[in-house]
Amino acid sequence: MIHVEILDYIDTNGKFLIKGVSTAFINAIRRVAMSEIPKLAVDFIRIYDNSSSLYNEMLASRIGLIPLKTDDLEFFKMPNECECNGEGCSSCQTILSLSAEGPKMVYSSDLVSTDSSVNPAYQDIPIVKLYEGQRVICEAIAKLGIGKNHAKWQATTICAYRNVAKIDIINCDLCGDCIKECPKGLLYIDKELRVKNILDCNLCRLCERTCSIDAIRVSLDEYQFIFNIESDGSINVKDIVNTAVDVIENKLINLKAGVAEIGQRRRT
Amino acid sequence: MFPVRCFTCGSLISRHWEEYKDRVAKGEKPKDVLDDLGIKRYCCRRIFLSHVETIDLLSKY
Repeated sequence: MIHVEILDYIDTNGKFLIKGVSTAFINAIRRVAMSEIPKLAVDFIRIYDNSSSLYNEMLASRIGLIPLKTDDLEFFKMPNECECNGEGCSSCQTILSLSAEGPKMVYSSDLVSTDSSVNPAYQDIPIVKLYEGQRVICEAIAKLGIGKNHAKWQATTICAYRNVAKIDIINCDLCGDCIKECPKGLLYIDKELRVKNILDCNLCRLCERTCSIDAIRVSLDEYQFIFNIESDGSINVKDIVNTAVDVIENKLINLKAGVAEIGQRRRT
Repeated sequence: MFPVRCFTCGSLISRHWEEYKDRVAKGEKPKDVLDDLGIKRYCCRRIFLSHVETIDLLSKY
Protein backbone atom coordinates (compact mmCIF):
# COMPACT_ATOMS: atom_id res chain seq x y z
CA MET A 1 0.00 0.00 0.00
CA ILE A 2 1.45 3.34 -1.02
CA HIS A 3 1.32 6.04 1.60
CA VAL A 4 2.15 9.62 0.69
CA GLU A 5 2.60 12.39 3.20
CA ILE A 6 3.20 16.01 2.17
CA LEU A 7 5.94 17.47 4.32
CA ASP A 8 6.20 20.82 2.63
CA TYR A 9 4.35 22.30 -0.32
CA ILE A 10 4.24 25.54 -2.23
CA ASP A 11 3.56 25.73 -5.98
CA THR A 12 7.24 25.80 -6.89
CA ASN A 13 8.56 23.42 -4.30
CA GLY A 14 7.34 20.15 -2.87
CA LYS A 15 8.67 17.67 -0.35
CA PHE A 16 6.89 14.35 0.09
CA LEU A 17 7.36 11.33 2.28
CA ILE A 18 6.49 8.23 0.28
CA LYS A 19 6.16 4.86 1.98
CA GLY A 20 5.74 1.40 0.56
CA VAL A 21 7.26 1.76 -2.90
CA SER A 22 10.40 0.33 -4.45
CA THR A 23 13.42 2.31 -5.62
CA ALA A 24 12.55 1.44 -9.23
CA PHE A 25 9.08 2.94 -8.90
CA ILE A 26 10.18 6.23 -7.42
CA ASN A 27 13.11 6.47 -9.82
CA ALA A 28 10.69 6.11 -12.74
CA ILE A 29 8.72 9.09 -11.45
CA ARG A 30 11.90 11.10 -10.97
CA ARG A 31 13.18 10.37 -14.46
CA VAL A 32 9.88 11.15 -16.15
CA ALA A 33 9.38 14.34 -14.10
CA MET A 34 12.79 15.53 -15.20
CA SER A 35 12.79 14.59 -18.84
CA GLU A 36 9.35 13.85 -20.24
CA ILE A 37 6.95 16.53 -19.03
CA PRO A 38 5.86 18.64 -22.02
CA LYS A 39 6.18 22.37 -21.52
CA LEU A 40 6.46 25.50 -23.60
CA ALA A 41 9.76 27.21 -24.35
CA VAL A 42 11.06 29.50 -27.05
CA ASP A 43 12.55 27.27 -29.72
CA PHE A 44 12.98 29.49 -32.75
CA ILE A 45 13.81 33.16 -32.97
CA ARG A 46 13.74 35.67 -35.81
CA ILE A 47 16.03 38.61 -35.19
CA TYR A 48 15.22 41.73 -37.19
CA ASP A 49 17.59 44.05 -35.44
CA ASN A 50 20.16 43.49 -32.73
CA SER A 51 22.68 46.19 -32.01
CA SER A 52 23.09 45.20 -28.35
CA SER A 53 26.38 44.00 -26.85
CA LEU A 54 25.18 40.39 -26.96
CA TYR A 55 25.49 38.10 -29.97
CA ASN A 56 22.28 36.88 -31.58
CA GLU A 57 22.96 33.34 -30.31
CA MET A 58 23.42 34.54 -26.77
CA LEU A 59 20.19 36.53 -26.93
CA ALA A 60 18.36 33.48 -28.29
CA SER A 61 19.74 31.28 -25.53
CA ARG A 62 18.68 33.74 -22.84
CA ILE A 63 15.16 34.07 -24.22
CA GLY A 64 14.90 30.29 -24.56
CA LEU A 65 15.66 29.76 -20.88
CA ILE A 66 12.80 31.96 -19.69
CA PRO A 67 10.04 29.69 -18.35
CA LEU A 68 6.67 30.31 -20.00
CA LYS A 69 3.44 29.81 -18.15
CA THR A 70 0.19 28.73 -19.80
CA ASP A 71 -3.31 28.52 -18.47
CA ASP A 72 -4.09 25.57 -20.65
CA LEU A 73 -1.18 23.31 -21.46
CA GLU A 74 -3.50 20.61 -22.82
CA PHE A 75 -4.41 22.92 -25.68
CA PHE A 76 -0.95 22.73 -27.21
CA LYS A 77 0.22 19.75 -29.18
CA MET A 78 3.75 18.51 -29.72
CA PRO A 79 4.99 19.86 -33.11
CA ASN A 80 5.47 16.34 -34.54
CA GLU A 81 1.98 15.20 -33.48
CA CYS A 82 0.18 18.29 -34.74
CA GLU A 83 -2.09 18.26 -37.79
CA CYS A 84 0.22 20.75 -39.52
CA ASN A 85 3.04 18.14 -39.55
CA GLY A 86 5.42 20.40 -37.64
CA GLU A 87 5.12 23.33 -40.01
CA GLY A 88 3.73 25.47 -37.24
CA CYS A 89 0.15 26.50 -36.53
CA SER A 90 -1.75 28.11 -33.67
CA SER A 91 -2.32 24.80 -31.90
CA CYS A 92 1.36 23.94 -31.62
CA GLN A 93 3.14 27.27 -31.29
CA THR A 94 2.86 30.82 -29.99
CA ILE A 95 4.69 33.92 -31.08
CA LEU A 96 6.15 36.37 -28.59
CA SER A 97 7.55 39.62 -29.88
CA LEU A 98 10.19 41.78 -28.32
CA SER A 99 11.11 45.29 -29.28
CA ALA A 100 13.15 47.62 -27.13
CA GLU A 101 15.39 50.59 -27.53
CA GLY A 102 18.13 51.75 -25.17
CA PRO A 103 19.06 53.01 -22.74
CA LYS A 104 17.16 50.47 -20.65
CA MET A 105 17.23 47.01 -19.15
CA VAL A 106 15.09 44.60 -21.16
CA TYR A 107 13.05 42.30 -18.91
CA SER A 108 10.97 39.25 -19.66
CA SER A 109 7.91 41.49 -19.19
CA ASP A 110 8.88 43.16 -22.50
CA LEU A 111 8.04 39.93 -24.31
CA VAL A 112 4.59 40.52 -25.75
CA SER A 113 2.66 37.35 -26.45
CA THR A 114 0.13 37.02 -29.25
CA ASP A 115 -1.76 34.51 -27.14
CA SER A 116 -2.87 36.11 -23.88
CA SER A 117 -2.79 32.75 -22.06
CA VAL A 118 0.96 32.29 -22.68
CA ASN A 119 3.23 34.54 -20.66
CA PRO A 120 6.63 34.44 -18.98
CA ALA A 121 6.30 32.87 -15.52
CA TYR A 122 8.24 35.74 -13.98
CA GLN A 123 8.17 39.30 -15.23
CA ASP A 124 11.50 40.42 -13.80
CA ILE A 125 14.07 38.26 -15.62
CA PRO A 126 16.71 40.50 -17.23
CA ILE A 127 17.34 39.62 -20.88
CA VAL A 128 19.81 42.26 -22.02
CA LYS A 129 21.05 45.66 -20.95
CA LEU A 130 20.81 48.24 -23.73
CA TYR A 131 22.85 51.40 -23.87
CA GLU A 132 22.24 54.63 -25.77
CA GLY A 133 21.38 53.95 -29.42
CA GLN A 134 21.18 50.16 -29.07
CA ARG A 135 18.13 48.29 -30.24
CA VAL A 136 16.65 44.80 -30.18
CA ILE A 137 13.72 43.76 -32.33
CA CYS A 138 12.88 40.09 -32.57
CA GLU A 139 10.14 37.53 -32.72
CA ALA A 140 10.35 34.41 -30.58
CA ILE A 141 8.40 31.26 -31.36
CA ALA A 142 7.48 29.08 -28.40
CA LYS A 143 6.85 25.39 -28.93
CA LEU A 144 6.07 22.42 -26.77
CA GLY A 145 8.95 20.10 -25.98
CA ILE A 146 10.34 17.70 -23.41
CA GLY A 147 13.39 17.91 -21.15
CA LYS A 148 15.02 14.99 -22.93
CA ASN A 149 15.69 17.23 -25.94
CA HIS A 150 16.82 20.42 -24.24
CA ALA A 151 17.13 21.71 -20.67
CA LYS A 152 14.87 24.67 -21.48
CA TRP A 153 11.95 22.22 -21.69
CA GLN A 154 12.75 20.77 -18.30
CA ALA A 155 9.99 21.70 -15.89
CA THR A 156 11.90 20.74 -12.75
CA THR A 157 15.13 22.09 -11.39
CA ILE A 158 15.74 19.89 -8.38
CA CYS A 159 14.08 16.49 -8.59
CA ALA A 160 15.59 13.97 -6.25
CA TYR A 161 14.77 11.36 -3.64
CA ARG A 162 16.62 9.79 -0.78
CA ASN A 163 15.96 6.92 1.52
CA VAL A 164 14.77 7.48 5.05
CA ALA A 165 17.32 6.30 7.59
CA LYS A 166 16.82 3.45 10.00
CA ILE A 167 18.76 3.74 13.24
CA ASP A 168 19.13 0.67 15.43
CA ILE A 169 20.49 1.02 18.94
CA ILE A 170 21.57 -2.14 20.73
CA ASN A 171 23.36 -2.40 24.13
CA CYS A 172 24.17 1.31 24.37
CA ASP A 173 26.33 2.33 27.37
CA LEU A 174 25.12 5.98 27.26
CA CYS A 175 28.60 7.46 26.82
CA GLY A 176 27.13 10.32 24.74
CA ASP A 177 29.92 10.49 22.15
CA CYS A 178 27.51 10.11 19.24
CA ILE A 179 25.32 12.99 20.49
CA LYS A 180 28.24 15.40 20.16
CA GLU A 181 29.24 13.98 16.80
CA CYS A 182 25.84 14.18 15.02
CA PRO A 183 25.89 17.30 12.78
CA LYS A 184 22.09 17.49 12.79
CA GLY A 185 21.80 17.09 16.55
CA LEU A 186 19.32 14.24 16.22
CA LEU A 187 20.29 12.13 19.20
CA TYR A 188 19.48 12.68 22.86
CA ILE A 189 19.39 10.70 26.06
CA ASP A 190 16.15 10.16 27.92
CA LYS A 191 16.94 7.12 30.10
CA GLU A 192 18.12 5.49 26.89
CA LEU A 193 19.54 6.83 23.62
CA ARG A 194 16.75 8.18 21.42
CA VAL A 195 16.36 9.76 17.99
CA LYS A 196 14.42 13.04 17.51
CA ASN A 197 13.25 13.21 13.90
CA ILE A 198 14.45 10.36 11.75
CA LEU A 199 13.57 12.24 8.54
CA ASP A 200 16.32 14.77 9.22
CA CYS A 201 19.06 12.13 9.29
CA ASN A 202 21.25 12.53 6.22
CA LEU A 203 22.96 9.17 6.62
CA CYS A 204 26.44 10.56 7.30
CA ARG A 205 27.12 7.67 9.71
CA LEU A 206 29.38 9.75 11.94
CA CYS A 207 27.59 8.37 15.00
CA GLU A 208 28.31 4.85 13.84
CA ARG A 209 32.00 5.67 13.38
CA THR A 210 32.48 7.30 16.80
CA CYS A 211 30.76 4.55 18.75
CA SER A 212 33.50 2.43 20.33
CA ILE A 213 31.24 -0.52 21.14
CA ASP A 214 29.25 -0.61 17.84
CA ALA A 215 25.98 -0.02 19.66
CA ILE A 216 24.47 2.23 16.99
CA ARG A 217 23.76 1.10 13.44
CA VAL A 218 22.54 3.35 10.62
CA SER A 219 20.97 1.70 7.59
CA LEU A 220 18.59 2.55 4.76
CA ASP A 221 14.88 1.94 4.89
CA GLU A 222 14.46 0.52 1.40
CA TYR A 223 10.75 1.27 1.12
CA GLN A 224 10.57 4.81 2.47
CA PHE A 225 11.66 7.86 0.55
CA ILE A 226 11.79 11.59 0.85
CA PHE A 227 11.06 13.02 -2.57
CA ASN A 228 12.08 16.59 -3.18
CA ILE A 229 10.88 18.36 -6.27
CA GLU A 230 11.29 21.97 -7.33
CA SER A 231 9.65 23.57 -10.34
CA ASP A 232 11.10 26.40 -12.44
CA GLY A 233 7.79 28.26 -12.25
CA SER A 234 6.22 27.21 -15.54
CA ILE A 235 4.16 24.30 -14.17
CA ASN A 236 3.34 23.80 -10.51
CA VAL A 237 4.71 20.79 -8.64
CA LYS A 238 1.33 19.10 -8.26
CA ASP A 239 0.77 19.12 -12.03
CA ILE A 240 4.31 17.89 -12.69
CA VAL A 241 3.79 14.83 -10.49
CA ASN A 242 0.33 14.16 -11.95
CA THR A 243 1.59 14.45 -15.53
CA ALA A 244 4.57 12.24 -14.72
CA VAL A 245 2.23 9.49 -13.54
CA ASP A 246 0.10 9.89 -16.69
CA VAL A 247 3.19 9.66 -18.91
CA ILE A 248 4.32 6.45 -17.18
CA GLU A 249 0.83 5.02 -17.54
CA ASN A 250 0.79 5.75 -21.29
CA LYS A 251 4.19 4.19 -21.68
CA LEU A 252 2.99 1.03 -19.95
CA ILE A 253 -0.11 0.87 -22.14
CA ASN A 254 2.13 1.15 -25.22
CA LEU A 255 4.40 -1.54 -23.86
CA LYS A 256 1.46 -3.86 -23.25
CA ALA A 257 0.14 -3.30 -26.77
CA GLY A 258 3.63 -3.85 -28.21
CA VAL A 259 4.11 -7.11 -26.37
CA ALA A 260 0.66 -8.32 -27.43
CA GLU A 261 1.51 -7.54 -31.05
CA ILE A 262 4.76 -9.50 -30.89
CA GLY A 263 2.88 -12.42 -29.33
CA GLN A 264 0.35 -12.40 -32.13
CA ARG A 265 3.03 -12.23 -34.81
CA ARG A 266 4.73 -15.30 -33.28
CA ARG A 267 1.53 -17.31 -33.46
CA THR A 268 0.83 -16.63 -37.13
CA MET B 1 25.06 39.65 -18.47
CA PHE B 2 24.18 37.59 -15.45
CA PRO B 3 23.18 33.99 -16.40
CA VAL B 4 19.41 33.41 -16.54
CA ARG B 5 19.73 30.06 -14.83
CA CYS B 6 22.17 28.32 -12.56
CA PHE B 7 24.61 26.29 -14.67
CA THR B 8 24.32 23.29 -12.40
CA CYS B 9 20.79 23.02 -11.09
CA GLY B 10 18.83 25.17 -13.57
CA SER B 11 17.15 27.31 -10.95
CA LEU B 12 16.13 30.80 -12.08
CA ILE B 13 18.64 33.14 -10.51
CA SER B 14 18.89 36.18 -12.77
CA ARG B 15 15.76 37.78 -11.34
CA HIS B 16 17.51 38.21 -8.00
CA TRP B 17 20.72 39.67 -9.42
CA GLU B 18 19.80 43.34 -9.42
CA GLU B 19 18.55 43.28 -5.86
CA TYR B 20 21.68 41.41 -4.81
CA LYS B 21 23.93 43.89 -6.57
CA ASP B 22 22.24 46.92 -5.01
CA ARG B 23 22.19 45.51 -1.53
CA VAL B 24 25.83 44.42 -1.62
CA ALA B 25 26.82 47.86 -2.94
CA LYS B 26 25.06 49.38 0.07
CA GLY B 27 27.33 47.38 2.33
CA GLU B 28 25.34 44.29 3.27
CA LYS B 29 27.18 40.98 3.54
CA PRO B 30 26.73 38.81 0.42
CA LYS B 31 25.95 35.83 2.66
CA ASP B 32 23.05 37.57 4.36
CA VAL B 33 21.62 38.85 1.07
CA LEU B 34 21.76 35.40 -0.54
CA ASP B 35 20.12 33.80 2.50
CA ASP B 36 17.45 36.46 2.42
CA LEU B 37 16.77 35.96 -1.30
CA GLY B 38 16.33 32.22 -0.72
CA ILE B 39 19.30 31.09 -2.75
CA LYS B 40 20.31 28.17 -0.63
CA ARG B 41 22.37 25.86 -2.85
CA TYR B 42 26.05 26.52 -3.29
CA CYS B 43 25.89 25.96 -7.04
CA CYS B 44 23.67 29.05 -7.40
CA ARG B 45 25.51 31.06 -4.75
CA ARG B 46 28.90 30.75 -6.41
CA ILE B 47 27.50 32.37 -9.57
CA PHE B 48 26.40 35.44 -7.58
CA LEU B 49 29.66 35.66 -5.69
CA SER B 50 31.95 35.31 -8.69
CA HIS B 51 30.02 37.22 -11.36
CA VAL B 52 31.62 40.19 -13.14
CA GLU B 53 29.25 42.32 -15.20
CA THR B 54 31.36 42.53 -18.38
CA ILE B 55 28.56 44.19 -20.35
CA ASP B 56 29.19 47.39 -18.37
CA LEU B 57 32.92 47.23 -19.08
CA LEU B 58 32.50 46.52 -22.79
CA SER B 59 29.84 49.11 -23.47
CA LYS B 60 32.42 51.92 -23.35
CA TYR B 61 34.00 50.74 -26.59
